Amino acid sequence: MFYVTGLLTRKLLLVYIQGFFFLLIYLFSLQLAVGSDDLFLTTLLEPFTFQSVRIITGGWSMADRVSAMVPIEGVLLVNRLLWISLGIFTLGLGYARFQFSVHLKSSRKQKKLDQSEEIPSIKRVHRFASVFSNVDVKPDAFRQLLHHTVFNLRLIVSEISFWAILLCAAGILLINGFSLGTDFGVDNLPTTYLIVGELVELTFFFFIGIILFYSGELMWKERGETIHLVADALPVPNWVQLTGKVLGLLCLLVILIVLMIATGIGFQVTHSYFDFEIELYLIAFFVEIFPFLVLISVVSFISQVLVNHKYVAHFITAAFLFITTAGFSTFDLNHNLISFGGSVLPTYSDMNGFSYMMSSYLWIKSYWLAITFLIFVLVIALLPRGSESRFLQRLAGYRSNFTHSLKLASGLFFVGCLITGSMIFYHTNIASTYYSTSEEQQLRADYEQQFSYIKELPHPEMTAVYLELDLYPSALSYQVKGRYQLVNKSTESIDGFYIQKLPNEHVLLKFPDQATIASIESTNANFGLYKISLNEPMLLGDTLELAFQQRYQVPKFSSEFSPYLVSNGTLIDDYHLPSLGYLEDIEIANPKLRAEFGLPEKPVNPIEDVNSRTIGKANGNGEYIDYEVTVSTDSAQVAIAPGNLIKRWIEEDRAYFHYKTDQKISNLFSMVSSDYEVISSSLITKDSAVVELEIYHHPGHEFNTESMMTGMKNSLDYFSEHFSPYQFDHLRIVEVPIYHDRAQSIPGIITVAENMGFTLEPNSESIPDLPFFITAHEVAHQWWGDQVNAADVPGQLMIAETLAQYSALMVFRQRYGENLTNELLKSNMRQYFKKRTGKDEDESPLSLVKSGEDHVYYRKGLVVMNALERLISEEKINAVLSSFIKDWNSQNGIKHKFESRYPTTEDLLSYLYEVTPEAKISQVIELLESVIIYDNEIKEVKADQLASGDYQVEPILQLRKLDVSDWESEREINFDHPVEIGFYSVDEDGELRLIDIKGIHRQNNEESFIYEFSEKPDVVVIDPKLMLLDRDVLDNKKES
Amino acid sequence: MNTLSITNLSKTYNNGVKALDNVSLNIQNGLFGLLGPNGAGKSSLMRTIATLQNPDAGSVYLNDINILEQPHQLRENLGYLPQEFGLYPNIPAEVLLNHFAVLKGISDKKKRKERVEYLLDQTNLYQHRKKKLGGFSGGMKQRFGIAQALLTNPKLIIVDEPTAGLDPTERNRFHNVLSELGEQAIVILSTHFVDDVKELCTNMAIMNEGKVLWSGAPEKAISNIEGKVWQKQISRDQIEGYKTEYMVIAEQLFRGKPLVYVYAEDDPGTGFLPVQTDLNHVYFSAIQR
Repeated sequence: MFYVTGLLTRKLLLVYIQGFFFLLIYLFSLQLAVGSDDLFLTTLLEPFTFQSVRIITGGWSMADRVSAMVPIEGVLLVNRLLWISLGIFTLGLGYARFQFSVHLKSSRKQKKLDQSEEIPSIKRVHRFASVFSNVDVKPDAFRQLLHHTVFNLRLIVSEISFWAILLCAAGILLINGFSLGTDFGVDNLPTTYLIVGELVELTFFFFIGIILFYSGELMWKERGETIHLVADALPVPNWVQLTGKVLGLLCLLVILIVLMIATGIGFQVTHSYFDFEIELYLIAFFVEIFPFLVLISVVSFISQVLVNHKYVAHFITAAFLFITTAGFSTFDLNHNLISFGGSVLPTYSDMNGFSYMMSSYLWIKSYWLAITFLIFVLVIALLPRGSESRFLQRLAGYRSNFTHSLKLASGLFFVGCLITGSMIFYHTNIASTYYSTSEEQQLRADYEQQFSYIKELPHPEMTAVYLELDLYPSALSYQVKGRYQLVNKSTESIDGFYIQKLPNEHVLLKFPDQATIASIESTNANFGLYKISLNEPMLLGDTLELAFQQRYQVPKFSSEFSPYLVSNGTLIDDYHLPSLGYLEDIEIANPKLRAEFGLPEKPVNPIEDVNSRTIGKANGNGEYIDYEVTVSTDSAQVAIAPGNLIKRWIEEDRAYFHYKTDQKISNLFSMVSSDYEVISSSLITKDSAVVELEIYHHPGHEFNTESMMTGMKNSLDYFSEHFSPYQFDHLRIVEVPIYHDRAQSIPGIITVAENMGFTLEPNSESIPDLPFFITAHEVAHQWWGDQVNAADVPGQLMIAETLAQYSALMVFRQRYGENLTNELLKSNMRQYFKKRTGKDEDESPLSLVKSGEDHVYYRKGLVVMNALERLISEEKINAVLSSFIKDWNSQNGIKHKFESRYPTTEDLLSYLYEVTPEAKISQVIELLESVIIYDNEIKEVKADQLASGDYQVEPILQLRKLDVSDWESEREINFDHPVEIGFYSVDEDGELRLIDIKGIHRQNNEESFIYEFSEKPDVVVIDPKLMLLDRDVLDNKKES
Repeated sequence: MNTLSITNLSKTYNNGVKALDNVSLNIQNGLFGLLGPNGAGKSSLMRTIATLQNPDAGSVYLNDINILEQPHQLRENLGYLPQEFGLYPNIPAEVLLNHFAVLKGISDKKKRKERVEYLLDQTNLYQHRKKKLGGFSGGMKQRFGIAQALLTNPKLIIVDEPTAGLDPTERNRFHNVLSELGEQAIVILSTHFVDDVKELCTNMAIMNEGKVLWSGAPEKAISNIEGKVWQKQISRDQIEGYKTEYMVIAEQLFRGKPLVYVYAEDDPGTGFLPVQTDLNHVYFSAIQR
């Protein structure tokens, strides 16, 4: 097809546009796939079959993908036939039209010209003017530049090809729309920054394409139209010639950006979102995106001048961009002075704007603009002009073409480049220490090799933390005075121990003189590991207090973004403070990298490992602590920390907050400070405890606070009634900037990133209330994670996360009913299959789930727990969980104390099996301890009305059960599983109404079953309660 | 009075063609005709003067502007019409001419408009001024090219075969314009129509194979060969013999039979008749020699 277009139109650009057009169809068919459950149309339309093949092989195992051919059948066959026949048709058309087209066109043209020749001069003007003009002639370079710029813009805009590209881009925007979707299956609100991101993502390749193609077009326009001998003899300096073209292209980009902003606003209006934030649009486009487009444009023109061949120059520009960005980074050349264009800004946060990185970003961009402009100016004198354009000839004329103004400009840009470059170098390499990625990895490897033995040394445990934290968010600094109470809970006496500072060179740690300490020795300057030697050894049970002071000043010019201390939305957690002993997080985690550095494989503790069972979540830092903190911050901000707010005051224009716990809490805490609005409420639980509820949110982020508040109330009610009492008298949800990208539960507090609920689209009848679900999940962590810590062995995350999923599911279903719950389950099932498709290692069963398998402990976990609840009953599971907590509560659980260890899934499963009816035990074991999926389908439903007036219905089923525990192959196994079939009628509103659910338990691979009903079932569904992990739930439903 | 002095200009192209071979000319205001067959080096010479290519050796001065080192200064004083050129198809004539006018430095908007309209009228394009250039015929394009060359008051006007493709009326009109311009500027006109030079030029040069064969006033050229050109009608098979025996400067058909013109100081006899000499004979004899 491309060939024929080229043949018929003889314009390469049209061929490119055709490419865009195919891209359009491709994206359009992708769009159909997004959010739609029916992938048929997508599979059918999509011209390249990238997606079609993916859809068809969506659930294939890795082995099938490698070895099997994609079957050319069904939809894929139709797709290929469609496109191949279109191709043949086009080719035929091309053949038929080719001979005539050139001829016809030229003869028509001839005729037209003959006519115009005959038109006599109608109007005579200026009869008396002379051929000698009386005008002043003074070529002014800037006036020429302005005019030349507009003229070049006009040249592009007058091309039909440009409008075709624009139309394609508009088409992609309109058809593709903005994908606001999240992993949860619920959309984000169309906030301005998100829309900008979508606009840029959807059109970025158009921009690159427009820059590449039109830089070439403009460069070759005069030569292409053979007007260059006229144009080049004009008194226009080289720099005006070239700069006018660059500026013409840039003007075009500006116009396109303005159009995109209008599109974005239009989209927001159609979604009834009216907080347009025009300023943010402008900054996001013109500060964040545009400079890079300017760089690419200038580079593209430079390459056009140097190479002086339109298409080779396109290629060289593209190759240059690829090598200097992606290519350099694979060779560890990440320095902002080397990597083309430098760093990008961290994502925009409603709370914190573009963050303190803006200034370094601008410096770096100025540097790159200066260096690019410098080269541009140097290249101007090589501009091909006149009838000769060989490189050597141009080089020979360099001296006379390198005019004074060019010398001046190159001098200026050179100075600019020196100033910005040395500024960047000073701040990156001198004021801070710069490590390339491989240098940093080497340091990590050294740290591990040198110090990992410390893990084995006896260490005291933390039992209390007292802090005085002075935050200066606007100045981006803090200082903290702290005291740790340490107790020797080991079996030997301790005469010294190690303290690990936060590995950040701008964090300074000091220890004031303390009577108990003999010496403090810094053993590793890079990461800050200190060896503390005591005057007298700590005997068993001895207590010791360690005081420290820590300061942190975020450098004015940072080359790396640290999201913790920011001007609005600071979050300082326990990880920020000195920790006891060796810090395993510094170790290299990636197994391949570990091998490269000669490090041994990281051992996975087996579930039976007795030693690991004694390690809970907080590792060596101690389990439960007393905690007290006084936080001071800018007076406009509110500081939140665990514990009860004892006192709050203003002193010398600073706000002080004193928090103290009235009981031991897990050693897991954060201090948050931001300019918040607060929503308060309270709840009296079923066991008559009063809980004060608060939501601290960014002003303007009220969209989902009601759901969150309800979520807290319903969850606290349910969990305290069914599991165990809630341990605190308060629960606070605190919004933190988007960089944290997660919700986290710490004692009495849930920190939620902006995007994890606050800016999700509010729920409606068809949209599950995700903010509610997320809240419920996090509240459940006050039980699963805070009340019960699981042992650090496989399955740990099932206890923490899957049980939280179950808890949230129960609360969600209680509030929103079956239909929305099913939506939630389906979305989780999809996510599970989507994520597992890319894995290249064996998947663990839920009971032995490892970290990193979040699709198992979140997604599969939810489906499994739903099935367990259907099989065993909510009441029995809740009873199990209640006694599990009673036995294994990490502070006072009976078995926890008795066995001095943390629970594993072995423990949990034994509770569950105890209450499982004999008949269902194999099903429950399958859910928890195997990796099995299903691929069920209703092929057909036959329905007949009998003489009696009753209906006889016969669904024909395909039931497949697959063992996928080996990632390389899937094995079909005997479908011995009971499964339910639901029969529904459809009422006038199109709603499904259940007639009956029939259970079947296949014995001999039957494929059809016959049922009789008094009314006609319109729809038949396999597994209506979503108890089986089905690769494709869509074909589980069929109309009769 | 302007002076263009061209000294020892030489240029050899990459393909080995010697386009300019030690060309020296001195040209002053008025129309200067460059006469020569295709490939004689006329266009190369003109492009070199128009700063569109650099010579291998030699120098060109317009008054005191060294055009090889100060191309920009020359361009400010130049009107140039290349032999072959195209135009932006999607741009209306008026817009492009206005664009050129700005680039040539006519800053006053009103005067620029007047000038553009005047030249469009002079070139008989006024009624087509809103039309896109893509729809222009060869002749219209040529006229547009002439218009753009005359936008300002250049001291040097170079027109490379300007009347090719023009009908006789247009050609006439253009010749009038050129001769008017010649009162104040140097106008270099290349052509292979001897008549053009005869009608217009005060001075001329004949070029062939990169060399200037002869330069001076046309009437002087004619008087130089006055009485030295002879003609005779012969049969076809005699041509080769005549070519070796005489200096045949031209041959043409007259009533189907060849008519040869020979150059000879004295009457060659054998049936040759004297001819009323004109520039054509100058041209042909120069080239043949």
